[in-house]
Amino acid sequence: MTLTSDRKIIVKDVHKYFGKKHVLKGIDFHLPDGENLAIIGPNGSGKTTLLRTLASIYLPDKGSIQIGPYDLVTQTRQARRLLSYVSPNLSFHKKLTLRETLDYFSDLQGVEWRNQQELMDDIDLTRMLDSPIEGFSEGQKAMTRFLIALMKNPKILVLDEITATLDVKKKESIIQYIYELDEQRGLTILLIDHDPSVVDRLCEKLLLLTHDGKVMKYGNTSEIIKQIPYAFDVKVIPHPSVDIQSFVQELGFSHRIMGQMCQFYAKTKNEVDEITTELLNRQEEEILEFSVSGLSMEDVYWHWLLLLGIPIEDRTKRLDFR
Amino acid sequence: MVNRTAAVLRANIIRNLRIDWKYKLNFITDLAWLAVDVITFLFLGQVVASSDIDNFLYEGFLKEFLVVGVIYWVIFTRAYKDGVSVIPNEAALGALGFIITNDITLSDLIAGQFSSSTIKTSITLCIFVLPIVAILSYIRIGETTILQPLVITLEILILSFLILIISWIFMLGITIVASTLNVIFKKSGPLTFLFSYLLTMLSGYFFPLEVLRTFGLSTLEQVFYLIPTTNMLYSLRSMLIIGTIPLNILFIVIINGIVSIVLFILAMMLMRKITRKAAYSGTLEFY
Repeated sequence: MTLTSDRKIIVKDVHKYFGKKHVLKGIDFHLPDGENLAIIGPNGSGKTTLLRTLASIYLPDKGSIQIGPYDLVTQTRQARRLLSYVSPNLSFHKKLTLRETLDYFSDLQGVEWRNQQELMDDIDLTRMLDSPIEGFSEGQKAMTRFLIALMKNPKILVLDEITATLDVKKKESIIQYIYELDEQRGLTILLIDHDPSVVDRLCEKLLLLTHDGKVMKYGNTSEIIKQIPYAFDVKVIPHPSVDIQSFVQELGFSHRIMGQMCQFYAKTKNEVDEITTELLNRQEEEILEFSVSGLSMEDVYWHWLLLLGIPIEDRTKRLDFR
Repeated sequence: MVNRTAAVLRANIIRNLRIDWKYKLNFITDLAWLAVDVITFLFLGQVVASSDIDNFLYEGFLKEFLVVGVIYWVIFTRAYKDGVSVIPNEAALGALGFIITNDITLSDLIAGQFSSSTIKTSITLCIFVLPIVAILSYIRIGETTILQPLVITLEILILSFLILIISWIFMLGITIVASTLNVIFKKSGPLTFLFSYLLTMLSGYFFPLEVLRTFGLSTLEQVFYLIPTTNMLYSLRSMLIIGTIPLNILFIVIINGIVSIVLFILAMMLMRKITRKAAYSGTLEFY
């Protein structure tokens, strides 16, 4: 067995049911050694279920998953030794110090956290060792979760929306840290994240799921994201009395309608300025509020839905890319 | 104003009843609690009211009877409560994903919690409870002391210690079995607590099981003595209150030792199987 074969992931025709609900329907993909994967899909598409199945929290009802050289169902214990699962939901007893917390989690894993001293210095946690967790910032807690996950030197890191609770600055530092760690250790990373910049930076591969748990698109991230010409979106909540269809038609920009809300897409900052100027002109009579942000992975998903000609089941949603 | 209050009240009652209806198991559990309480205190009342229970060893020792029962059970009830709370508590900390993906057995976590609770309770017992019991055995009110002194010889001390260790293994097994309910069902806390309350009651904690005879339930009394915690508490009381070592004490210790160890092993296997099943059904994610 070579070191690199420890990190490949082969998923064949995986199905997952919860009771009568068929959540994952025949998922197939092959992630080569050391490449990173982001799973993207709308709410209810089964992306969390798939990630948790890959992390062995759930086991597939049909099909097979190979983690490195091991079959996840028949060699669960061996497969689990290769991976670490990081969730932002993991919290700590607030009265315990970092040292006590690390002692507990390293004992549970049968490893020694002091072996990660260099890493602790890198992420600036050494000076916090005797501080109670209750005084930690969200960023420091996030770093503690990483440290715990990395104690056993995993080959595969499963990240379940880890940046969801962080502000932009902390998110940036954590992503940079994971990026450097990946460069040093050559990990395989599986993740869910809504930010295309995170996905683009960390993941070579992208898996788009349909709303009903099938693979819509699997391929190289750069190719998938590059095909979308937009970089920004402007979310708008019009006044309830406004006819949203005519409102977006009048403005004439690429857009998506979601019930009583709409989103305009812009390729450049200049285009964002054009949209916001138009919105400010109409604000008093027609608009309750609007906000500008970078494109989300959900937008990437909707764009690909249109590109692949997949019908949108939800009639409250409508897309018009120009 | 009154209409508004009435509307809010009505809406809340309907909503809460709807929620309760979704957890029908809790209705049944509450009913069972009520039934167990009624029966328990009915029997205790019968003991206090009647003095003609055949072969009742503790005539005139009802206080000591209850004190030994309390000391025996206090060690295990706290450990049991903490043990069955392990899975919900870990879920609340968001640690189940970490636990599962690191292949940490839930039984191990429960056993860890059970042990730490036992240590905590034992320290409390030794520092506070036992000295108070000893003091009460010296304070006189009229002709007699508040409590009769417990009989403690080296032989009784060793046997009592053995009985407590075996009971500990048995209750740990029961705790793991009860915790599997937490893996399968949502909000099964009340049911798991009912489980321990029943064991406590059936051990003769609140009333001597001999009282069952006065209701013509001698067979039931014999059946209850098959439960390890029941016959071990019986032996403990007999030794500490009357100073009588049961003739079959070695048999009791060996049989209960085997039963407790087997139960513990089966409980661990059951928990492993149920946890594996939960990975398919997703029930651990209920929390």
